[in-house]
Amino acid sequence: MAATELPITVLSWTVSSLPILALLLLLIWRRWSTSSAAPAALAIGAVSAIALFHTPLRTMAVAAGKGIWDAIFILYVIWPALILYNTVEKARAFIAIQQGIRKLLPDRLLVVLAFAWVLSSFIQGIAGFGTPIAITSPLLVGLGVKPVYAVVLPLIGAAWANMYGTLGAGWFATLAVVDIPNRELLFLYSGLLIWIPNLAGGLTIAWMYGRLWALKRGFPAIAVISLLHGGLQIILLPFITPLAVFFASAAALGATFLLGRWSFYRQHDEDEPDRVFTEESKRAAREEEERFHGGRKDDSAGEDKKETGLSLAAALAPYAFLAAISIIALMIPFIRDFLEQVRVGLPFPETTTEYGVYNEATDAYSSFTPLTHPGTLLLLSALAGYLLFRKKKAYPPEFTPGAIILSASQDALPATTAITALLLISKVMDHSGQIIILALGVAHVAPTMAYVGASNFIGLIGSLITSSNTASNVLFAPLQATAAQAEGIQVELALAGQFAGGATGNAISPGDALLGAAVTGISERLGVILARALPWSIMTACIISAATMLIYVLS
Amino acid sequence: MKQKLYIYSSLLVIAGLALISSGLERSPLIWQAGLALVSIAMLLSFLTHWAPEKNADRKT
Repeated sequence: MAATELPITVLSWTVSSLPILALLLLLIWRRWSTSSAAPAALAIGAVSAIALFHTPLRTMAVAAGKGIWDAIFILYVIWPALILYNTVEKARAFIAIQQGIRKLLPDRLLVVLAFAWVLSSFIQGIAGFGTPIAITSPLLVGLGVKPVYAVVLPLIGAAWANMYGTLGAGWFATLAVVDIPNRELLFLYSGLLIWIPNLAGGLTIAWMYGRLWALKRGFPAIAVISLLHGGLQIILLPFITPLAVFFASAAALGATFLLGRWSFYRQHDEDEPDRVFTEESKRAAREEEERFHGGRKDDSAGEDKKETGLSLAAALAPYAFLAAISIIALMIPFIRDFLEQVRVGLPFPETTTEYGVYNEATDAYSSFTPLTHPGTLLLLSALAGYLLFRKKKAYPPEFTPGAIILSASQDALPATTAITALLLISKVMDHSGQIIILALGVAHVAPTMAYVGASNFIGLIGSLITSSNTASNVLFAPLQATAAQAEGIQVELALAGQFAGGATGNAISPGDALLGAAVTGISERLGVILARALPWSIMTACIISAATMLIYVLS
Repeated sequence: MKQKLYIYSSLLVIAGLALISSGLERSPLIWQAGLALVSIAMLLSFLTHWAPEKNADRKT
């Protein structure tokens, strides 16, 4: 995109920020559902695009087409994720998972850290597009975590892994739009800055779990996991960039189970303030504890199985199957190349506005590969789970697969229109030049030092608007590089700020948050989720700003 | 009622995309009709705020 004559004024910047402000106000303050709030914000964005930024109707039509196409891409994660969730839930497998995990990792804080931070990061290392949230949020609900926390915690926990995760998808997209003079230096700077949301994520999950008590109890685990996540990522980035997050989070996953065997995480504390669990699950945990201390440990295993009819291994089988086919389909090059021969994308003509905001024509816009898409892998896992659970007679005799689809559609339908509206806002703002005005406005008014600190906020705004770290980089990385050269700042430092801000902004991206809300059955509560994640994102971005400025001064 | 609005809105969005993508290289009337359908879909989605609730927040 080239933005040649866009008016960078206080008025144009204010008008450009109105759709996002309206969306956040309606969601957080007025507690509207996304399916109502997003169209209202879209109307504001569309009117200002046409009236103030002179965007022709044809350009608006192209933006709408691209937005809907992008929404289909995400909805093909949401619908299958809900089908998988209902396949597992209807078989009462989450009860077996809850009971089995309680024996494997008796410390409930460690369980929450393991799922919301470590497992979600591991999944992000392989598959993005909201897949970590789509998988870990229902699992957390199944483990007894309150639905809002089940979405907020993995959103925060997996944020750091967005930049170099998804087998380096965001990195490769960035390479396509910007020249990086010194990649090793960029890896070092971005690795250091991305370590901040990683550590802040672990600490915040513990804080939400039980304030100071959980910070003290969780500190050894958080220190070990963050060292493995952040440290290994920095070490591995220059050598195996697309796999750095995968290996770092795989090492942390192994370490978490080792930590679970440590006596420190096997001691019981009567005063444990587990704020994130439902009362029902706390009661179940207390009963389990009493049984354990009553010396009937062996009997309880039999009782659990009798109650659910499934062992932990059987209950987790669909997720193990998902992990296995994801690794096979995405990480074995010749299989991946073979499966990726099938590509689907829509052609769109070039567009322009009267201010010269130009978008090239494309033969296959945002083409995706259905055979390696997370949606297909989730559907296959749901099918495998259904066949297994049916064989084990986990469903009632009169149960049919139609009940799973019907139940999934109850949550997926509100998310369908809401995701579409969010992506339409993103594309209308993009094609009318409003996103560029927001970024250029920050760059224009900020003196050098302030720009260094603001670079990550530009990345954050990009992720907030587009619900994608990759899209944020594609939009803003060239701008950050140009602005850095003009201000006499190292391009690598400005890009590192962009990457870290983009990752941090993913925790408040309405798309991912809505996906999590949909798969946990609380689509109407997106505002509450964003209100919980917003302070974390802002505080983390401020720390990143301070760190970026420190690097600037030191270098 | 709310669920019906969501279904109609989703169907209109799909129809809108079909008209936009097929019309952009053919006739302005077709993509304009597509854009109109998408606008109506968004209006229906917006109106769900006032539609009677049946089973929202069932897991809260």
